[in-house]
Amino acid sequence: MIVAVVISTVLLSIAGIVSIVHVARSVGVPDRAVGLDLLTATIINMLAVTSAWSFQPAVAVLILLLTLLAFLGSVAVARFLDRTRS
Amino acid sequence: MIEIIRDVVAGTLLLVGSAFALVAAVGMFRMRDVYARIHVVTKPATLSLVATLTAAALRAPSWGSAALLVLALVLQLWTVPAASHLLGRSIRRTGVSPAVPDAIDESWTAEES
Repeated sequence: MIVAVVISTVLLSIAGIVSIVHVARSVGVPDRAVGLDLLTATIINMLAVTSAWSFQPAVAVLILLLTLLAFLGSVAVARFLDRTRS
Repeated sequence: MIEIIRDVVAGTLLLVGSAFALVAAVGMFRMRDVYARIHVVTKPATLSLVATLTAAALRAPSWGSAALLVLALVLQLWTVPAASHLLGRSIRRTGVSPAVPDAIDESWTAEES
């Protein structure tokens, strides 16, 4: 179990660093929104790994909260793009 | 015995999920325009969330938090494709053209705007 946790933490760290670099390097709102989407998914993945490793019940609540927050953020960016068009 | 099987299954699911997240990150670097990036990020991200949240639900400390994790999984499956579709539609309406111009049918944007 600890081998799987370590390997998946390393892989998820690489994915998070890649998405942060993409957000920093890309131009414009749509590219950054996609990068932040991947960053949120990576954070939720990391929280799931944390919840599988340490038996803390509070992490499940955090995962649920971040799920709803990610959806609201994506919808807000989409609405913002729609509004800047007209 | 059953706990060993559970741990092995959970560890395999964690590895599969993080590998999918890495695939999404690599694909985001390799794709050229924002539509291809949405396409290549959303599906591996959803799959990786399903895998890791299932692993976390298998190793949950109680039935209550397992139920919370399964609820989070169902919500992810529900909201991530919807949010990506909404984002792609808004980007298309803003007028960002794809890198390959023939990739998207133009017929519906004329009547929308």
